[in-house]
Amino acid sequence: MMIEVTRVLLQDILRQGRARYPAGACGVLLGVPGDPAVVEASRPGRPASEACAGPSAEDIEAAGREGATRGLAVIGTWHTHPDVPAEPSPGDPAGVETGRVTLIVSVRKGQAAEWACWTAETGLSGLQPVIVRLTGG
Amino acid sequence: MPVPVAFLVDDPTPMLHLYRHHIVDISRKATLAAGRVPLTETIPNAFLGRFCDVVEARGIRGKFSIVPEPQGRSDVVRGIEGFDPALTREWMATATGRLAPFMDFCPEMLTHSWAVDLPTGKFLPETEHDWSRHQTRATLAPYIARALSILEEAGVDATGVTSPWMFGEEVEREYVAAIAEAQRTVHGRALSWYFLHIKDDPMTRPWVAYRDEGSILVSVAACSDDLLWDTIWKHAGADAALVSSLADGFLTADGRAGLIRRVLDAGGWPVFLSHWQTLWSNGHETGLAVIDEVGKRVLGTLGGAVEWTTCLGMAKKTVEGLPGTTRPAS
Repeated sequence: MMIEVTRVLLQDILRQGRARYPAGACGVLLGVPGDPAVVEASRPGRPASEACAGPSAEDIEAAGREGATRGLAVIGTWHTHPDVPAEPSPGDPAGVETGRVTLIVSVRKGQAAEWACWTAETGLSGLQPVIVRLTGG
Repeated sequence: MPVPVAFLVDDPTPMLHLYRHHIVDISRKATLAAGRVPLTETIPNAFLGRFCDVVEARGIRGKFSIVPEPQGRSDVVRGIEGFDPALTREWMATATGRLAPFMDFCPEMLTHSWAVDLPTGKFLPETEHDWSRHQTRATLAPYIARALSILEEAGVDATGVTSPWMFGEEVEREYVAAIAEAQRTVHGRALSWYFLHIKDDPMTRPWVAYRDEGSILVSVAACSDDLLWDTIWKHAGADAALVSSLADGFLTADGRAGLIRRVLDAGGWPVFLSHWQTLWSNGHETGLAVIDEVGKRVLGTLGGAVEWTTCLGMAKKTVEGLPGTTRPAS
């Protein structure tokens, strides 16, 4: 699976992660489904639970309704891992629907250290890596 | 003139693995990542002894934080809550007795966790980092003074201050004035230093961040983030090949490449950072073995070109080298 995201949008997500550090930040990715899925916007969210740092189901639903008015669908979510790697933590798979992605940003000492994108695939346990193609200047 | 080089160690405190506390209690991640082993809850006193062995053998100088009220579990004077007070005394005696010739000591605020309401001693509902964002020198100075005073009571002369997380970054003009005031109040010290910044620019040297009629405060910035961060989880051993490979990031065996070489070539002062938990490496001590190897390579390949220096030593050299000049704090 592959997604496309603009550098500007990714930078905005990293900025939000830095601003919230050492607390976490999260949001919903909106765009045009496909392979690659094209991410066009992000909406901020609140963490679903202590175990799952991604946005709550209510926030995902609200973002989806907003996106629909612009012809955009929910592509997935993003959230930060303060001081831990951009790898799925045990609670992350539960927050990712099959076919959707979650972008994880590791923030250390107030700086975005690394990021990686993951998805849930039918028949596979855990989350699988997703290729991210950056677009724009 | 040899170029000053320093090694900064963040997060040490008796017994407690502060990073694990951050992950479990603050970030609410019970384990770090799928498939990873849990972090140890404590770091044994014997590890501090082995750290001292390396520092003494290689002549490494820099700074060594001591978090005075780690996680708010009492303090380094009365003993860390949940442990025999003799263990805290032993840890402090080892640190002050063996590291003092090599390392400056400093607090990393009070708890490196939730902020403390000084009058009541109770936790506030935000981390020290978040609390710092809306403070002024009027509230920061007593907070810092409290940290310095605890260490003083424990027999530690703290010559500087380290920020937990990015404490003070958003109010840095207030923060630097508060550090200077706290050092004057507690120690009567006119020249001090603090560590907050990481600068990727290899030309970075310490700079005067604050000056008034009675004080000068020097900012000592690291020239890189902790290159050993992954040793917290990713490396389950300390074999020679792994240690050599990780040490290459700092300085290759021939002294021709690595972070320290890049900084020297650019005209900066190599100040490199690690953390107590990365040196511990969840019991494998991979990070400590790497620092030992780096110390060996510095001695063997750079010789008289560099001089291990404490942070206060760097502050003195900075003031001597830049008479009358002050750079803004932000």
